[in-house]
Formats: sequence, structure tokens, C-alpha cells
Amino acid sequence: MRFRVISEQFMIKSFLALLQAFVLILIMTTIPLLGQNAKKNNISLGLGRQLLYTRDMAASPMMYSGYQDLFQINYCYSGSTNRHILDVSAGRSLLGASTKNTMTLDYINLSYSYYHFVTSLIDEKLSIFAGLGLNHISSEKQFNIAEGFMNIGSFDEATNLNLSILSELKIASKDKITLGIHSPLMAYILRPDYSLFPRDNISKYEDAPIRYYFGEGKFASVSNFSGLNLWLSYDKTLFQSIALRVNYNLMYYKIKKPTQTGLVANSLNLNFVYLF
Amino acid sequence: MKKCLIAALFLTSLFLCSCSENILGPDPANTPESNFEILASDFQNVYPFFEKKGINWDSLTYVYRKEVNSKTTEKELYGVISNLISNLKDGHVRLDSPLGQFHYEEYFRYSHNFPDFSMIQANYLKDTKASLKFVYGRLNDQIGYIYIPVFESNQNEEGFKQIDNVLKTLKDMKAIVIDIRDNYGGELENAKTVASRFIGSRNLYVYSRWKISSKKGDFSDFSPEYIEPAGESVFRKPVVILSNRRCYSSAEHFIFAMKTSSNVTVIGDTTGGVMGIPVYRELPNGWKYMLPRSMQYDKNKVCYEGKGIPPDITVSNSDNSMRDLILEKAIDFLTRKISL
Repeated sequence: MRFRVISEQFMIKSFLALLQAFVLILIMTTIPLLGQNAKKNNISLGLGRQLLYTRDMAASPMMYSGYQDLFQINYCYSGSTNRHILDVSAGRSLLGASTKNTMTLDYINLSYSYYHFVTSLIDEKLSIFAGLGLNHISSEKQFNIAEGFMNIGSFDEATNLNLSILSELKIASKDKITLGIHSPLMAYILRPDYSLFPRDNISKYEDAPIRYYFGEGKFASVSNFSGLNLWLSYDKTLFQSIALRVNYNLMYYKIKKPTQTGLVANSLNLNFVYLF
Repeated sequence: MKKCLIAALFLTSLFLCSCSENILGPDPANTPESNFEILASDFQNVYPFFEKKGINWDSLTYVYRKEVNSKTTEKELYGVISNLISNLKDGHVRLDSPLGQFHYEEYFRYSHNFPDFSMIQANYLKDTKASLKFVYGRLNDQIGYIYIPVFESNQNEEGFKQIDNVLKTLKDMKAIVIDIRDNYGGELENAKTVASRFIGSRNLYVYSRWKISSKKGDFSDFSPEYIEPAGESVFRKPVVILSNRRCYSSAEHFIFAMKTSSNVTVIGDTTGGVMGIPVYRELPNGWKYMLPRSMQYDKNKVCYEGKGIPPDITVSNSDNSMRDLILEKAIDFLTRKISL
């Protein structure tokens, strides 16, 4: 007997839904801002590699790790006293454990943050912003422990409200280094029951993931959902409307109940940035 | 200055990347004690049938734990764990290691009640055909026969959908015998695919309960599952299912699903009684083990774990006989039913 494995089509559907949400938010935030000032918006497309570590106690006490190709879209509005940043990244990877078993991980991360200017230092070269962000992480795993069909599929979804801090250091007229940190304040999580989801619930999840997520998820405080998202980036403007961005990102989260799981992602991306 | 900052950025990234592995904590130790305790604790937290089987797992692990220490060899550990889990008497409990595979074999001590299939083919079956998952033919001009050795599909679920072609071939039959003796299960969906071609309406056929915490007896509510008609045509004439002790897991779900139809009769021996939905887990030493994580009940909320589903008509084969008395009983039963 086995569970229906969360399908590839489902992952594509989820990704497209998130992408639609991203585009919608992008349009909603961009339209009022357009025309205010040139070159305050930028959108970037990034490709990179991600080193992942994950452990899901619903399936195994072992840590699985491996590399993943990562696709990233980022939008940023830079006002004189604020920043709006939207970010979507996704990837699929085959991870391995020291036991030589493997698992397939599908991963989507969507975030929006608003930052307000707090202060500037070092002759106004360093600007500090603080604000709030919303972040949604979807992680789905299919373990390949047995040769047959009795493998575990597991997943978790978490939307968290986070405290966000951003600092930008201008190092030349058009180059900058950015450091950002998100730390969750609370979250809304969906996690398999203690053992696994009953089959009919998996079907409901696959058929209508958003309705199922809001019907079955639970609020979690930092005692049950903890995490950190830190990124460092270097932007180099090449032409008037084109820049290159090298971005390092460390993200981790842990969900303790009903069964503990966690994921650590280190990613290095090269982004092509269009300024408008 | 700029170069220094970029170098600092690079070094910071490298440092964060190198220490991020430790955020989730180290893997559990690969020692005999650790491997034993992970397995024992997992069963303690997840195995659903302790209360039903009257097993005190704490006491058992206390006894067997004494046999494990840092000097325990792999062979000794395999023996200790095998002995420990053998107390569960559960066909869905297994230990896979390079030293061998332990699984509960009690079913093989019962009378087999299933002759060699070639004997059935030679003595009873006409116009035998085979598809990926079925062997089928006619027992006489009125009764068809389908043999389903297993519900495993090995990622070829389409194989079980060929039941439509099988039924097309047997459409003129007035009754069918479905032989699932020795069928040790497989994917539940495949059992449902076949059963859905023999039932007339959507029926509740099984309830599931799941462990929802590590506390003893802490289970989810009864979660109903349904079977509904599907396929190109539905065979609504009399059907007999042949069962024996080596018929378990998804094969027992197949019986639950088929029994929602009033024209289905089970003949043969009691089934194996393996009612949980199993999954595989792993130990730090690379060994794998299987355990059930839920309890299944029939539509009347009866759980047959460890007992097996009794047939409607009990018939036993003499193991040395060159006759299949169970099949003969099915032919006799259906012949009388058709003539009514």
C-alpha cells in the first residue's frame, strides 16, 4: 500500500500560482510607484546553486543534503525613505544521506518585505532600514528509502510574518552592498499529522492546496516555528539600465510539532537586474 | 576599500555556508545502542497495535536493550532487533540489512491452500491468457477465472487498468472466480482499481485511524474511505473470491471493497490479518525497517489485525492433493447460484 506521491503537476501548479501572486503583487505595488522617479524600480532574474540540508523526522532521523539549481525572480522599489522587495525562488533537487538513501525535494520560497528608513551612517553611505515582511515556504519531500512502494512522502508549508532589517552600503557611485535579515515573529503552518496525512487528506491537498492550507493549517509562535533569512548582495551597475547582482542567501527554518523538520538553504545567485 | 569589502562579503558568505550544516544538529550516532534505541523509540511512538495485541513495548525493549552494548556486532544487533520485532507478529514489520531480511513468517506455517498455479492451469483452466498483472481464462462455459498474484505495480499502474480488457474477454460469463490466494498486497490504489469494476455504487468500505501523538492510544477519528464504480464496464454478476492465509495487506482491502457488493462471496481460508498502512524508515547504520502507522477497520469498524478476515465459506485443501478443493467449491457454488 502506499500514499499518492505529491505529483509533479501539482508542483508546477503551485509554482504557477505563486508566480501569478508575485506578478499580481508586483503590478499592485509598481503601478502607484511608476512615474514618481526614474530608476527607482528594478527587477532581476537570477540563476544559481543552492546547498541544502534538511531533516524530516516524519520520515527519517538522518540529515539529507545536496545541491539544487535555483531560479529566482526579484523586484525592488527603492524610495527615498522606504524599500519594497518581492522575491520568488524555486527549485527541485535530489538529496542524499549518509545512509546512501535519497530524497527528492521540491522547494518554493515567496517573500514580500516593506522597509522604512531608520538612519544613515558613515557620511550617509550606509543606510539602515527596518520593517515587516511576509514569507511563504513550501517544501515537499519524497523519500527513496525502500526499493518498493512504501516510501514516505512528506511536506510542510509555512507563512510567516517577520521582522526585517536591511542595510545598504554605497561603495561607489553606482555600486552597493546590501545586508538583509528576516526573523519570524509568528507563522501559519501546515504539517503532516503525527504519522502522515490520511490518504483522503492528501487528495484534498493536491486538488485544492490553498483551500486545504487555510482549512487545516495552524498558527505557530516562535516556540514552534523558528528561522532566519539572511542575505548579502553586491550590485554593480554596468549600464544605465542594467546591473549585475551577486547574491548569497542563508535561510533556515525549523518546525517542531507535530514532528520536527527543518531546512537550511545556502544559495549563491547571479542576477541580471533591469533598472527602470 | 572596495576590494576589502567585497573580500569580506565573500569570506562572510563562505563562513556562513560552512557552518550552516550544524544548524539542524548532527546525525544520530551510528552505534549499536543508538541504532537499537532509535528503532525501539520509533515503534513506541508510532506502532498502532500495541494495545490491540496486548504488548508492553517498554518491557520488551528493556529486556532486549540489555543485550546491546558498544561491543555488539552487526550480526548480534540484527539478531536482537529481529527477536524484538518478532514479538509484534505483524506482516508489515520488517528489518532489511546486508545480513538478511527479517519478516514475520507465521502465515507460512498454516496450510497453504493454494496448489501450484500450473496445476490449476492444467486441470481447471481453458483458454488461458495473461496480461501484465492478471492470468485469466474460463473454468467452464459459464464461469470465468482471474488470478491476481499481487497488487504491486512497480510503477506500472496501467497494468491493473487492463482489468477492463480482461472483463471484455469474460463478458459472456455468468460468474467469475477471482483468485487472490498468496497475494501479499501492494499498492492499495491497484486493489481499488480492480474492485471498482465489480461494484454497483459508491460505498464506504474501510475506516482508517492514525496515531496523532506519541501517547498511547492517541488516534485520529475514524476516517472513512470509499470505493466507487469505474472502468469501461462493471461486472455485476456473481463473483467468488478465493482467499488463504498468505493473502494480506492490500489483498485484504480488496476483499473489504468487494464485499460492499452483495453478489460477492469469499471462499477458502481466513486471510493473514495485516491491517496497517506501512512505511519504510532507516537507521544510522543504513538498515531499513518497515512498520505500520495506521489501523484499518472494515465498514463495521472491526479490525482484523492479527486475526484475518474469515471467509463466507471455509474450505481447506489437502496439501498433498492434486485437486484444488477450494476452487472446486467455488465452481460448485457458482454453478448452483447461476442455475437459480
